[in-house]
Amino acid sequence: MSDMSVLSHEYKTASELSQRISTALILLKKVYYHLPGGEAVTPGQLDSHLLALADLLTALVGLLTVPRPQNATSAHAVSIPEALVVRLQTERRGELLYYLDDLARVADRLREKPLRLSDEDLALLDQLATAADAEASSVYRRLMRI
Amino acid sequence: MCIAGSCGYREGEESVEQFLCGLLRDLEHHCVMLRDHLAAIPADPDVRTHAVQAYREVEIIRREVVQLLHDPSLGLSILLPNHLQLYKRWRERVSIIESYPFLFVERYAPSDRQMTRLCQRLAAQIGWPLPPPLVAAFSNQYYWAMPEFNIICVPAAEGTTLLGLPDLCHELGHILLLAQWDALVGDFLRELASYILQEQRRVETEQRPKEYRSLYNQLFMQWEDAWLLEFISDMVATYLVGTAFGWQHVRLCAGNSSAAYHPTLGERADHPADEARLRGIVAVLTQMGAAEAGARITSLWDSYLEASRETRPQDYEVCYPQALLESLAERVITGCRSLGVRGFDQPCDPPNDLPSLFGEAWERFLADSQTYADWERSQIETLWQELDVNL
Repeated sequence: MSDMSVLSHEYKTASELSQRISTALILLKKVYYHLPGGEAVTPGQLDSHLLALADLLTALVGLLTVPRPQNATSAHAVSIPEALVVRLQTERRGELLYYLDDLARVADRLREKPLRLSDEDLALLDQLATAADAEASSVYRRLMRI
Repeated sequence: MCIAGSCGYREGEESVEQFLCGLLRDLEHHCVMLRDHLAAIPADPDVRTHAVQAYREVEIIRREVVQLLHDPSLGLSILLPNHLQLYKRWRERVSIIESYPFLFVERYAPSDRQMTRLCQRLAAQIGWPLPPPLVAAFSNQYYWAMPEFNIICVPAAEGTTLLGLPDLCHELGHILLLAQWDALVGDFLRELASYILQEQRRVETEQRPKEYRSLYNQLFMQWEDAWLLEFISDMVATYLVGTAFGWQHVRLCAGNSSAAYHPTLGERADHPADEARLRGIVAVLTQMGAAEAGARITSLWDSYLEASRETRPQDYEVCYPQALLESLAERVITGCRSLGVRGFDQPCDPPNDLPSLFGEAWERFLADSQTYADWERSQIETLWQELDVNL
């Protein structure tokens, strides 16, 4: 009845998404930049994270497209808070079409073998991680009344 | 050993990498403290499952923290933003565990036991498909639930009344929704998206002002992120206890100050408008064969709105179309039936049946509120005796 029940649900969605993106990005960077610990990342582990990231980007493209295509509702498997969609639409106002192209391109590249990403692609993913982090923190503060 | 000690910071100057290492160690220490505290809580069958779940979660986070502390990449500036993000999520999660399930388990009191036992009986009677939740009676924010921890919090004196107890079923609805999303929601979001698209087309054809386009996006966002949860929880509660939840909704609205038509198009709120919620409740009653009872509640509601001088704002209907509410009601009823949950229309006869008791309480209250208090007191005394939780 109070906002708490809804906020706890919102936080769970936002937090899981943020954590999923950050974890995938760490693995990806370790392998891409040959960082210490990169050798311990198994191909199977990397593949599953890359595919999940690619699916997420594809879902996001659908959700960010205006007007939204009818089949672009956030499937429960890739749960993306609408608040994050609005945040990105606001941040990318004026360049949304280019942003959508970029997201779609990176999604395709994440599915390609061998992996062919650029520093710009990783920067785009980092920006998405930052936005997801900001969204999770924002809901957390509301939930905990900080 | 974390490698931040060799990340190139100058002596006497704190680096963020070094600071993050410290924060991770502090978090690990905090997890150990919480974990050990949970392990030391005396065995009590009411709280055991929740204590074990909280213990496991804290321990999983602690291990992830330790793993990162041993990761040779910790301290590399290129990963620093991502490691900080992970730290934040872990820290938040631990704070939430400490603030909710930990608190529920550690401070479990006789009044909590009353409500937990009542909820256990209700769960057994309605064929609840999940473990019964732990209920605490110290809320300062009316009723709320944290579905992922299977906990519900209610105001301190709820054990002294029957009229408000249908709201417990609303919180059960939140818990059921998290566990059984597909059964209850199905492809409703597609139906919703289709409706929003249809409204947006009205902007294209100039039947609506251009500024409405963004309002529709916001409307969809509110439905998906928040309102849907509330509507479904209301509908689950109605499915379980029938008219008692409808009457309680009117009681709750009359007792708080929010406007019945808020939020309308362009307004934001975590809860949908009370008027629309009532229509959702009545839709369930009607589809379950209690249209007449639904009409009684609607009649009282309409008189209440008139007496409160509430007026329907422009474009309000756009936010809560009746067809969507009815479709959702149908999905919730079908979903609950498929899960084997007993609805109010499948009466059960034991003298201690709680859905029947809630219904009877409301009928008696409406028939004669003067004599109601005595009847309620005796019923509650009997209830706590039966549950062996007299204070």
